[in-house]
Amino acid sequence: MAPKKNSAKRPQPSTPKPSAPARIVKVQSSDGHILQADVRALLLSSTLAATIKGYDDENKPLEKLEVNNVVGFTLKLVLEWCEKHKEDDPAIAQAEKDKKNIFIPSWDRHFLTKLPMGNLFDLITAAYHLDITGLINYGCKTVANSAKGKSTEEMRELFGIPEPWEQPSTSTATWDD
Amino acid sequence: MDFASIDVKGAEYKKAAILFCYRTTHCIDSAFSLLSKEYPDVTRKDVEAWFTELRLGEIPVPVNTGNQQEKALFSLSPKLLQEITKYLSAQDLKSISQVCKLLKQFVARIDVRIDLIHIFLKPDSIEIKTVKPGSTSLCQITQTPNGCSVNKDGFTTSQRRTFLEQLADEFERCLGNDNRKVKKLDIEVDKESDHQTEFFDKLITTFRRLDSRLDCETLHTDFCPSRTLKFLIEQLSSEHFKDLRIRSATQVIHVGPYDMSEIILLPHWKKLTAFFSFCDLTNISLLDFAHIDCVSATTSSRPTEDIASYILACAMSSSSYQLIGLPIENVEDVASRLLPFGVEKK
Repeated sequence: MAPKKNSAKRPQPSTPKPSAPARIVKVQSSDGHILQADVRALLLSSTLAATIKGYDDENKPLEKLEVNNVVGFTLKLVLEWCEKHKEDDPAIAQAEKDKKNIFIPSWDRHFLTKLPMGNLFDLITAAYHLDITGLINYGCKTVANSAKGKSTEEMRELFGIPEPWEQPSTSTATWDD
Repeated sequence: MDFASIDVKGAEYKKAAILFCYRTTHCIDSAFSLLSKEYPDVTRKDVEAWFTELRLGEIPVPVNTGNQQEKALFSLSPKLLQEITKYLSAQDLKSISQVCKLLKQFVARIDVRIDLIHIFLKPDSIEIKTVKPGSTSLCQITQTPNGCSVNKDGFTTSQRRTFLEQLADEFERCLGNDNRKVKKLDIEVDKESDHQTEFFDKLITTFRRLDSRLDCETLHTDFCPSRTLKFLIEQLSSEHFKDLRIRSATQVIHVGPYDMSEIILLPHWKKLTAFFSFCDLTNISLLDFAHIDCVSATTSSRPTEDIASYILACAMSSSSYQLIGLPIENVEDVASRLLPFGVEKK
């Protein structure tokens, strides 16, 4: 087998394309909040991109997209992130997906680190449901960064798990599968 | 409570049911599914309109007094948790696995943490010891006239390939998962072995097959040729790297000057805590040793200025043992420079 090379180079953003007029659609969260977003921002989500494509293929007018598994507060954060990254080349996030050491740009660092841990978890989960690779990458790395170098006690405090060796009663998760 | 007085056909009861769904943070779909059981004529659009009305009326949704962070952590999917652990070191994984039973189970299941890999090259065999949380395995590869024999945890098999080729195979299997976190990698070489160069080449080739640099915290290794040592160290990610120890296994294979120019440029050099060498080191300044805790080395002659700066740096550092042998051309000059650091004899 030929030796693989370590891929240390960071992918470079592609040259920005001339911006087309914004196409705004309504997005409704699971708790009924209605927000507005540029379709280019929504295309960062593979899940929403497939839905939008479905409408476009059938020439149906797209008035409102329903996101049934994300609440309004979190959806607002997701859309804010997508709006900021709508010009990004999706290949960059895809290339970073398998890397152990990714670089978080300063805007994203500020955006993610200002969130309380619970909201950050909700945001990552929403990104996972909506399949937004870049947000998953940055979100997970931010959680990891906040846990790095911490002792068990500090991690327990960070994740809000008070008693040692006590299985949380709020969860039925086993992660066995 | 006087339940008999509740009129389940009445508007008050319906309003309470809608309010209950809203305040217990049901989404529109789940509220619709619940309410439609009691009120078959209710549509999803109705629920959406009621929820909007409640929001506009600023009816509060109660704050959950349970531990939100904990709830959210355990609600993360295994895939996301695995994604998070990808960025953590072996030590971080150890700490996180001690947080609670669920995280312990999770870290054990993803099987990415290795506490120790010890590889020992002997004259006619190689030993690989792997220690993981809760298990230790030992693999002994011995040279035979037809190839090699492999003894793994008590079971022996014969192979037609050379014992060094088998080493590459076993080491690759040991690293396996590209996301491995190794706490300590210890490479030991018997000075009687004639296969040292080929041994290190096989290790480096195996590292290069990984998609990314190995996440390793500690490397203790015996000396090998200068460029090989550089290649070996640079295959390890410097992100979680904490401790490097380089020791000399033999004086025989490194006769002549040993070029340090490329090794000292690696970020790992700053993490060097012990350095024992019998070689004549070149292209290294005395100051490059000052941060190391234990040093025993020899270098070529240095200008007096360098020696004085080095002594000063050592005096200010917390190094516990530094022994550097070097020829001094102008002893008197050095002595006068060092006078302030010595103890006055009466």
